[in-house]
Amino acid sequence: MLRAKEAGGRPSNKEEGLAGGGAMGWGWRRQVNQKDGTDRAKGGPRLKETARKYLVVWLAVAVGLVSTLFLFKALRQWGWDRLQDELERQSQSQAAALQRGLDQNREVVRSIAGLFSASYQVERDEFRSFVHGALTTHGDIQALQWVPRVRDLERSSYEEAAQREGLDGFHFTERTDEGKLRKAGWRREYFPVYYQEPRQGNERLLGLDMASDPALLETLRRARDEREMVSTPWVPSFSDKGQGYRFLLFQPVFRSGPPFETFGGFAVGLYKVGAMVEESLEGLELGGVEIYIYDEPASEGPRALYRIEPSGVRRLEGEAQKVAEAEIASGLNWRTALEVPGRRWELLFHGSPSFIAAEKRWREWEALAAGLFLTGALGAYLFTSTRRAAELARANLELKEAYENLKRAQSSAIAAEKLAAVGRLTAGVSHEIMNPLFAISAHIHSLLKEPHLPEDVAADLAEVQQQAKRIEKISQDLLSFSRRRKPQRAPLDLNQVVEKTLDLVRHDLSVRKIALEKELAEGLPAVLADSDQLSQVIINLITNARDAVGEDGRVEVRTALVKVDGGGSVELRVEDSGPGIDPAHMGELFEPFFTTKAEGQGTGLGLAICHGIVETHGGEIWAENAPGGGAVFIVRLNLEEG
Amino acid sequence: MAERILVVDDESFVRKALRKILEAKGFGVSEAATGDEAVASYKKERPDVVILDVRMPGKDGLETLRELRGHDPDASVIMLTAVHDEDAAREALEAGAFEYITKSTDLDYLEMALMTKIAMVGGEDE
Repeated sequence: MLRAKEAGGRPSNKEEGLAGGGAMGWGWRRQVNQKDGTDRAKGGPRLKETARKYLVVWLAVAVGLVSTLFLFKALRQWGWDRLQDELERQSQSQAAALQRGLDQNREVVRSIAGLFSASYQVERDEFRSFVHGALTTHGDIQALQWVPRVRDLERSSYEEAAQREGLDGFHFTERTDEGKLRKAGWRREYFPVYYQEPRQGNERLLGLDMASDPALLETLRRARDEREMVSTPWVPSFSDKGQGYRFLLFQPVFRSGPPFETFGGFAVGLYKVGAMVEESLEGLELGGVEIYIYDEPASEGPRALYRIEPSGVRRLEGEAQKVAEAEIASGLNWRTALEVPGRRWELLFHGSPSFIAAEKRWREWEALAAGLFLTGALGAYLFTSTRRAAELARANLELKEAYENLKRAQSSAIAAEKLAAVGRLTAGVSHEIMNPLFAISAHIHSLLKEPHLPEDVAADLAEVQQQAKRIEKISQDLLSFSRRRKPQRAPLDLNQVVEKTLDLVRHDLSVRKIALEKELAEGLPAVLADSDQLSQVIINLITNARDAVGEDGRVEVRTALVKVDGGGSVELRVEDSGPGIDPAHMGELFEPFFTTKAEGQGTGLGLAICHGIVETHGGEIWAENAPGGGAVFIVRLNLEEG
Repeated sequence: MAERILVVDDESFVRKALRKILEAKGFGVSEAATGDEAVASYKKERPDVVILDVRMPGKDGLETLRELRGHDPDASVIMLTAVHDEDAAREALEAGAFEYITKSTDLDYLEMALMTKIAMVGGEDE
């Protein structure tokens, strides 16, 4: 295979170990077992290219994932906002309903107060008929009461008056620590439940002196001092009528002049929290919303937490309160405050998991699933198509390589076939030529020995003899070129072969006044080669150099050990001081019959023979121009090839 | 000293050229153009040396050599070939040829080589 190298085209990895070889930047060589440098260099760029191809896939997948996550987050936020709005919407109406219920109760108590402040004397029956309407319409009222202020001096007249009105055994009472009722002890003033509707179920309250309870007394004083309605905290029922929480609304009653305004007592409403809530929220769906109410004093004081449950209102204390507050803290909430006289009721609507489950649309998860699916599908599609494209490209490349190999194999088979045919032809021709040539030479030889041969005839005969020799040389060269003998390889020392061969040519060179120099590397490893053939190569290269330099020229022979990627080689360099090689001839140097020598000086087969021998040894031979002028022929024999 | 030499070659001009060289040296020369002729001639004349061409139509040089050696194991045969062929040379020497010489245009060299070998044959005879 012939390969012309472009400027600087020699792979640099072949340069190692060369003393300035190839520095001219051009040169060519014939290679056997040629490994294209680009083959070895393919790994890196191909990997990079693959990575670049797949980068698009990864980018697409990354964009898909980011978009999906973004959409997921946005929808999730939107979902929570929507839930929050929904909770607020539901809660607002419930809070409003509760506020309405509370307001109505306030109104009832206020109207009672109005009744008592307008007239000094309100009869028990009058009171009854006044509150009758309210009692029938409001189920959450446990009792409506008139609690007058009674000074100690007035106590007995109040008690007697009540007894006269048919309340047998009416006394001001107070509650003992055990919860039992007893006749109230002496105080400077009393706040007894004097009128009360409905009587039924509240019997134990009638006559009870509210001033006997320190907490209540505190509330009463506050209401009187601030002249405002005041609510008590929620307290467990202190009547015998069922369980649940109660609260009381105290409205102070002042009677104006003459001669001056006096404090008369309190209009009191006793309310059932559970019923109030139930009544207010009647017809409203709780729908998974948990309602908590914090009851706390308007100023400082302990805060109590209640939860509204279907079964009623339950106070959460201790551990239960902690659990509930933790649950509240971690969820969806809406808070508002109810206007309660003298206290603060904070309403807290908590969206329970069932509320979230019922209201939530889970759009973000749908989007996430869809996004992941689409991204996955897109990624898979892109990956598959990229891989298929890459596979196609690779298959294409392999096909190309296989085709090239096939072409090479075919052409080398054809070349081998041609060579064999040429060999047969050459042998036949040589045989046919040599017989007559021998006869001609023999006759001339005899003729030249004839005595009295005219001088000019003798000269002509000698010329004929010379040309016959030339024909013989051509024939022999053709034979050794065409009859490529299989090398008989044995381990040998290249230096020894060089020395032996130089002995053969030394005389010839010295006759022509050509300096022969050698520089042999020490300790060369043995190489597997045919000694005779190698010697033939060296002779041919030196003969070539000899003819190039002419008289007073110089021929140098060097050997070296070179390391090239994949192993080592021994190298033979034959350098001359001749004119060098015309770059135009570089591609033809090793072609049979190519010669630049004067007509009749060479057959043009010497280098072709060298190439043939080196090729059968699995080595390389090429020529370069030396930096200092002259030509260099380089032979490399691989160590592992032998 | 050998005196009679049988020259075997299918080409008459080659035989003639050899005859000229050998006669100039004082040898008696007889010729044969084929292997069969050579065997017959050998039997009849018992030459001291046979100069035998390798490549001939019909019975070639190697066959003729074997036949001659079969007939006379002491026959001194110098193979003369137009084209050097290592394999043929090895075969000939194994078959008992005395020498294997290539026809050359360098007649001085050829003459010398032939004379040396013939002299050696003669030396053996005595």
